[in-house]
Amino acid sequence: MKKILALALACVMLLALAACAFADADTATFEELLEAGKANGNKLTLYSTHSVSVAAIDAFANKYGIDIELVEGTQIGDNNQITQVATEVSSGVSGADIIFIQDGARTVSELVEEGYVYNWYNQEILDKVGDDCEPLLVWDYCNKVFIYNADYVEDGEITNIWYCTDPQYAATLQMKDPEKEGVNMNFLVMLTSEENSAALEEAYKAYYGKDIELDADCPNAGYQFIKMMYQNGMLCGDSDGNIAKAIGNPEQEAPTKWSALITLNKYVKNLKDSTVKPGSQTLNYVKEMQPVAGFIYPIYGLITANADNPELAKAFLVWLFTEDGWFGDGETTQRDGSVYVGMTGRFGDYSGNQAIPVAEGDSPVAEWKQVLIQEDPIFAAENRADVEDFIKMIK
Amino acid sequence: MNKKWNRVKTFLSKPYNILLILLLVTLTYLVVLPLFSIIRDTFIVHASEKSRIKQAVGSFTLYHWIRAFNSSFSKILIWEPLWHSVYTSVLACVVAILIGGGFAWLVTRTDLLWKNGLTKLFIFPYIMPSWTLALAWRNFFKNAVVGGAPGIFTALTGITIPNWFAYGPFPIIITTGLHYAPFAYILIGGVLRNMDANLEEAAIILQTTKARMFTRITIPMVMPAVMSTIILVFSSAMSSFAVPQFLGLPVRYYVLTTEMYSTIQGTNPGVGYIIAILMIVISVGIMMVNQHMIGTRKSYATVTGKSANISLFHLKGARLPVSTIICALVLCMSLIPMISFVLQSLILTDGNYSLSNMTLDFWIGLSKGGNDYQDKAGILRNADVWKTLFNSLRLSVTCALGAGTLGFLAGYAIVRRRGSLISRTVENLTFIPYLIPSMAFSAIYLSMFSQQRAFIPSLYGTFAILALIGTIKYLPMASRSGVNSMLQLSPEIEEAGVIMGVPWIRRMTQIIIPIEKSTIVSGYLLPFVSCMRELSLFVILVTANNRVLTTLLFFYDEKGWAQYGNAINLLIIFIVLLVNFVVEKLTGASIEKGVGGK
Repeated sequence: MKKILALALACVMLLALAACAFADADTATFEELLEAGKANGNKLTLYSTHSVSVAAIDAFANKYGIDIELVEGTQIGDNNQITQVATEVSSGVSGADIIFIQDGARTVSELVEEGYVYNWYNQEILDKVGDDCEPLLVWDYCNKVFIYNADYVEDGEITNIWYCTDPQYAATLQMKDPEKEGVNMNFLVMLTSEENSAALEEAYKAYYGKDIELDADCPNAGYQFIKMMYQNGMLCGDSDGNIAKAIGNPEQEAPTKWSALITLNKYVKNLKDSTVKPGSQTLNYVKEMQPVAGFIYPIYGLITANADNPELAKAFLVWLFTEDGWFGDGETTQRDGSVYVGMTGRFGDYSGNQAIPVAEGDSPVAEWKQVLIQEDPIFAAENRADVEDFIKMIK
Repeated sequence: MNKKWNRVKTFLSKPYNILLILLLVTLTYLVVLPLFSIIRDTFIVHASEKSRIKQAVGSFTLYHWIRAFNSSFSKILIWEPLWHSVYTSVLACVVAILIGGGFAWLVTRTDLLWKNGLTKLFIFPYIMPSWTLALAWRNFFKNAVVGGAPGIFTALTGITIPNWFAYGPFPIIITTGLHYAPFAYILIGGVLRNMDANLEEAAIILQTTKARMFTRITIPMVMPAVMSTIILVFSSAMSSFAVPQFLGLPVRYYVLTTEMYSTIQGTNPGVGYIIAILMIVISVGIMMVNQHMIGTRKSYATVTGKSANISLFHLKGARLPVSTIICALVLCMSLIPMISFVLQSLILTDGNYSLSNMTLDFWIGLSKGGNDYQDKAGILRNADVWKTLFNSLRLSVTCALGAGTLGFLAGYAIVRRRGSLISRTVENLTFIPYLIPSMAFSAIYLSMFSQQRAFIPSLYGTFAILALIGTIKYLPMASRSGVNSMLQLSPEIEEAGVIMGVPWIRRMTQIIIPIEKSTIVSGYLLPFVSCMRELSLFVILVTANNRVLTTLLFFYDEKGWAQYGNAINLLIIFIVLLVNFVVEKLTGASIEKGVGGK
């Protein structure tokens, strides 16, 4: 009886704790946080997978004339970053105060659940970001869509994701190796969810005109799609930038219907190259596709459990969601002397603050979310190992 | 009781005894204990394996061993990479011996033209970092399929390179073989040069044909050198990481080291630690075979002190063509890679090598913002690059001082107490790091020092962990030369000082060190140069905070920032060559001499 009572009591306390976690945002304001941060040593360390947040911390330091001892903004890949943060926090080594990280699956299971990083936002952020404050605060959304060589693939030719498995397009699809890029792996994991695999089943019928038949090793249409895509000779590139160059290369000896699932940002960057060498990259992207046109994944902004200066980290986070933080104010410079322009003109990056306009020619994030698969970090974390093993076996 | 106490006192009154005890304790802690730590790591759940094993982090599991050796994944995780490692290493040996040995024969036994210049350039790949030729290969032969825009070769000739030529085992074998060809040249060339001419003269008198002389005299003479080359090249190739990473990964061709890297960085480090243990076992096996062979093989005296005036084989009409071909080959190994790095660091759009497409921005330009191709400042203006460069230099100096000093002291103490158990134990301990492949060694240190151990705090991400592993890994180099030179130094010289009542410190600084000066200097220099171009030892230990130049290059390359990467690569090569040049000028010591040449 006593035991049951204790258990019930523990449950109540846990519930109360959980409620606290979802309770109102921190009441501290930007000014208060900035003051407290300045008083608390003036040092701020950031790890990030995104180059703009590294530039942003530079600009932030300059703008507020903070006598910052050492601003360290370091761009590191997601796999390395997860290992690094987990090891540093668990062994008490002082490292990052704030991290910007993608790959929700591993972030949740290895960092958040273990208590190495935590989610934080105040009222100012909540007002701007709303729902995307939970479960983890989204700083930036990035999307990866199907981009193709417009010389060899007709506009409107690609309309169904099952084209990836069509022998007609054998060995023409490229993607950064999902085993090296966590978000790509998460996309494949998301395809195996009940909802998405049902949609894939339908799309299969639309594309091939018959019902899908699952192989013995494929539990659902999601797995079947992954298997057929790999076996259709999908090429695993080393970086989205290089892939964009490879598929957009105009002087192709054998005209090939190149396409790739890569960030929209790289599409634009490589279009820009064409000003250097006219007509060099002829790329276009698909926005409407059955059942999905690619995926969208968040980059989260999180505070580490052993942050030396959590206040300054939080102040920086608040500033990032302002227009100045996203685009720069046209004056603030970085350490190397260049003016901070943030995400100005950048395709494929969308602030968690949806009031901030997207680059001209791009679509707002709400529109993208309609046509793209979103990453569910909890589902992805639970099923990631299964899909990774599945891919190891079918290759 | 008193007697025993007196014996202890006498024992401790000898400085070399104290040194041996200190070394025994330190090396046990830094070399032996970590071996146990890594075994433990193959039985526990790591944070990244939680969702896979569904057990609490840190709890006991047999998952890794079962997965590695008794599951449907064994083939992919262990056997295939193992086979790839062995296959590429064996064939790399063949390439190294054919090219290096052939070159050695041409230089020592024929009237090849331009010998002086050619031999200098031939050594080049050996001085440079191990991935130099691999990166150059990629610059030349990458194809549009997996590496973005096509490489220089396709741009020049219009010929598209097939995948098997651009990536995978073929280029790995060629570039590794060429990188170690100087080894073969130095070792085999040394024998050929010192060969007793009487043997050949006897054959000539007996009217033996040239071909028969070659197969019955020359080949048997160089066999021991060939065998040592095989051992050296095979074990170096087995533990090489950068080359298969750069050339194998694009076509998913994994070897043991790259598989280990991907599992440790990925979601199954437990299996990575098993691969590390497997690599250590293989390496120890190779060494045992080597010991066995040295013990049983017939010995050939090559230095007889008699006439060394060997007659040269005349190439006659083939002299110019052969010399030209060799010259072209040597240039491909030495200067042409450099040109490719320069070109790749200058071009704006990949695959276009016209002058209008070139810029110095990747070296000295300002960042053009996140939305541009040039989203970073040029490497010479980039604070990150300067920081890592400084860190690399600091690390190399520290490791050199650490390994050099420790190695010299170890050599001194080991020789003074030669024959005793403690001396033998310490000598073996200093040699163990040599047996452990770099990447396995760093996996061990990662598992050992990323948590607090007794009074030592977690060293993860610090400068200290790199300095520690570098010092220990390069210790064998320094202690070997320390032991060898101390063996040649008669103890009477020091004993004279003892009789005169000169204290130990003064005996060392006034007698031993001045005599051993040149050995000590080379004991410092070898670790310095090795450290400057080291990648596989550091790549899993560095974090954003303690990056060195080589790992920055690796990171840029992973990110696909080709121009910045090539520029950094040139910077590393420049520093290594500069140091090497200064060393040669200052001490007259050269890499060739270091591996037993000339």
